[in-house]
Amino acid sequence: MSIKIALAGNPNCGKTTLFNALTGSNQFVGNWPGVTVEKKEGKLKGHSDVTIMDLPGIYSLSPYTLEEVVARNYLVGERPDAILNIVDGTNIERNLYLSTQLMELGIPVIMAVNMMDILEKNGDKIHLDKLSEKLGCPVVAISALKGTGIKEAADKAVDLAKKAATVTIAHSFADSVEAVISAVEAKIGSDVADEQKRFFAIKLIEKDDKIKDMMKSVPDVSAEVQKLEDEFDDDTESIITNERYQYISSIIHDCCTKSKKSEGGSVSDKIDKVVTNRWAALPIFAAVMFLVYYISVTTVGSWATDWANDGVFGDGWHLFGIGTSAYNDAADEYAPYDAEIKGFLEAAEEKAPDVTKEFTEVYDDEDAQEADVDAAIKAFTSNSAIKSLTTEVNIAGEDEDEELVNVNVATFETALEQEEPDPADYGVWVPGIPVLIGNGLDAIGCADWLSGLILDGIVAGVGAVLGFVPQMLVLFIFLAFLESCGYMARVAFIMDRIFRKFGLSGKSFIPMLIGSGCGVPGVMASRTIENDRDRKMTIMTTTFIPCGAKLPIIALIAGAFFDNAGWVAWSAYFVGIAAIICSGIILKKTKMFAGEPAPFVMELPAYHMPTVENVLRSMWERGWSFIKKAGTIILLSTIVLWFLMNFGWADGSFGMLEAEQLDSSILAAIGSVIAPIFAPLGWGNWKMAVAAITGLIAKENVVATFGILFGFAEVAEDGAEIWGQLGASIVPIAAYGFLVFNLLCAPCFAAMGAIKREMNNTKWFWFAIGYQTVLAYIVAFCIYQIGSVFTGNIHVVGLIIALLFVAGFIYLLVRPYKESDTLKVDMKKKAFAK
Amino acid sequence: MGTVIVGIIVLAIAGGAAYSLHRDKKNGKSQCGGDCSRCGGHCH
Amino acid sequence: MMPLSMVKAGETNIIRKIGGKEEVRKFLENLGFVTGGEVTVVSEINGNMIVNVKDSRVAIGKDMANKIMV
Repeated sequence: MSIKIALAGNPNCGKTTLFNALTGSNQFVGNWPGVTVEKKEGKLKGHSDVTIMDLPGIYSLSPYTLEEVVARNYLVGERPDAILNIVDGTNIERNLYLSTQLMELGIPVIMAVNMMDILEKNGDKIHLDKLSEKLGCPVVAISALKGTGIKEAADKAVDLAKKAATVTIAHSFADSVEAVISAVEAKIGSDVADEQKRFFAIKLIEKDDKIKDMMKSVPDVSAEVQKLEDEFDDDTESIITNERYQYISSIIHDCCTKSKKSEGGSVSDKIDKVVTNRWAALPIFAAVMFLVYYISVTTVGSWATDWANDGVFGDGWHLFGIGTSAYNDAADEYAPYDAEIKGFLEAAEEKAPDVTKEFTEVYDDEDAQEADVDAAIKAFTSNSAIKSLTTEVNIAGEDEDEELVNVNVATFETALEQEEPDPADYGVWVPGIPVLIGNGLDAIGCADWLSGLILDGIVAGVGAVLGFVPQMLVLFIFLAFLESCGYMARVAFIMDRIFRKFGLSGKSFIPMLIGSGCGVPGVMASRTIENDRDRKMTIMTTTFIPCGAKLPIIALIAGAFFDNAGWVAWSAYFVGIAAIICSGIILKKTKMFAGEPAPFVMELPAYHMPTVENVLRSMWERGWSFIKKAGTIILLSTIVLWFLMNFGWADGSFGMLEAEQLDSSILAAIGSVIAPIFAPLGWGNWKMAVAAITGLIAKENVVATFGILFGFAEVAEDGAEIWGQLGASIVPIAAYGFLVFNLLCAPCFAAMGAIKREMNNTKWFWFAIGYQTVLAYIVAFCIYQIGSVFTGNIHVVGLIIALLFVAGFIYLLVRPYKESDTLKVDMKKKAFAK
Repeated sequence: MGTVIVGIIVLAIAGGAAYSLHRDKKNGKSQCGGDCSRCGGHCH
Repeated sequence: MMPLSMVKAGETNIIRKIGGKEEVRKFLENLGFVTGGEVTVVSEINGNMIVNVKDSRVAIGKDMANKIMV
């Protein structure tokens, strides 16, 4: 005896919040129109036999959008036992338009008026009992956000469903219209249930073209239609619509009282006047996004990531910073000595490289015994070449002045005697995870290779990715806030003006915006675009926007090559948007995609202060998925990578390799085959090639791979973590090209899966992937070749090719926009003929 | 001995990860936050 | 009668006629754009507008606004 209750209402009326409250599932409430595109089901809390179906937000049952078709098909085809109609009390007139149609279906309806609390605050009143009387259905007040009235509404709905009462249609249109409706009802065959006949009759009169799909035999109602149209001198849909609104107005008049306050432009309107102002809109948007990314990536973000990368996943850190300043003081004191040592060793290496190498091997070895070190020092300093060596070293004095200091053997020896301060001795020191795990593994007597897998593989890889979690969380908070308060909807509107110039509509912007969190829902959001060509184009270009997973790559490149500059992150988004716009322009000029974009109509919800709870919840949801991804996909990838990296053919046989033999590993072998492809882009070494490939599984893998590849080599004397190593491997301009390549090329497997599903067509899927990757390659190529000119590193052939590409690109952008000429001519002929 | 213990732990974690991925695939996983069926189409 | 796109921000008018393709008109009507109904312009960028109809805020593109006569 299971009961089905459908949840229906306008977009943004609080349906999803109610659904969550009724079923207990944890879903996110956004403030955008078209939030729910899929049908959602859940079991009513406390009633095991009641299923609640959350229908997509719709304005009416006349199908203009996919959501409306989906909702309508469900209601007519599946016949739920009751409908819980949520109505936004603050704009009840428009909401009732849907309600009247729902009630024509012959299914028991209970109306829940939401946002009653806001109504009260504004001083408006709705008389629910009068409303119920006039409509002919029960009406309850709820506040979905606050949670009031929900249980009563649910209980009433279940009641209604159980009673399965026949529904009395309370509202009626003008007499002549009613007469026609009855006439049409009589014509409808028995394949339509009695209580549904009115609904079908009205739809037939309205000339709804999709209603025919639901009927076995379609009666001819043209006579009736003609009669009405003649009488009212208007077309039937408008007639019916007008009738509805007239009916609604009469109800409103009797049941609602407005306070004087609501006139004169609400707060939201005032904000909109500024935010969508023709001159200020774009700069404001640019400023907002810049601020968001500046705070999360450059300032708070990088501070947090440094702590994570060097501290938690590095050597260690001071708890709450206790001891940091004391340590820093000691370190400052030691600094000059350190400089002297380093300077002297540099000079020594030039003069007597072999002797110096012998010394540094022992000196740098952390496991060396003290006696051995002392002996090594003695041997080194008594060497004749070293004894007579003097050099000058730049040392920063107390007042930051640099002075040249003479360093000879004696000074060197004195400096060596100074104890380098160990941060662990100061304050409260928490050793980094690698240190802890390393100690643990040693203590338990774990074999070297396994320790290697764990420390240099898993911890290094996963740690590199997890290091970005703080940054991501900060970013997610901002984005969640922006979305919840309602600003994002305005952005789509603002961008529409620009997008239209390129043959796209602002609606294509929404998937892009979603894609900046994760590409998968971004691609899926393209469903709201009715125009098939626009949709395909949107699907193809949505992943150009840097998604959450690409953020660590951006941060990594910014940190390793550009000193964490803010412009890197910002430019990544700019490149993404530019890629989308240019793709839009170019593709729109091809025969495949040409055509007018769909007109832009979108409801803008009122601004409101999002609840802390909502914002935090959304931030956590995304943050958690990021972490979970790290623990699963990336974890597995790092294990595989580690094996590939540490096994190979060296010294003529296959086996496990030493650290320095990295280039002989299987991975290097595979990478070397692929690497030459990327040589024209400036990063033709196998490490970068491998990193880019692993990015196909999950974009974070690029960072994880770097973590293993560049952190692994123990050749670095001061244990430089990956940023230092990475920074030394290729030139900055190539690094930027690498970044752009990863941003634009085919997305991760999950996103590719989404593209395949949405395209529903293998050919188009490959076309999309191919387009993205080729574009990425060409752009990265041009960046490197042309950029190299400015760094004084010109490759003639490459430069010429790059310039050719740029010229071709510009041509594709500016060539005249031709509609199919033949069609135009025909129309002209017809016009003249008339 | 220590190696064996640690090795088993690592295998267990890796296995858990693989299993979790497989299960997600069945639910129509998405790398964004939840399963796609309840995704509002807005993630960001 | 003039197209809505020509109305200045802050003004309220009565909708006289809605043109355009059938689907589009129906959709507009569903949203609250009905002949005889009021429409207030909140803001306007180059023809794209944000308006208030039936107590709700709707953003419409220039092409649409051109088809709504007030």
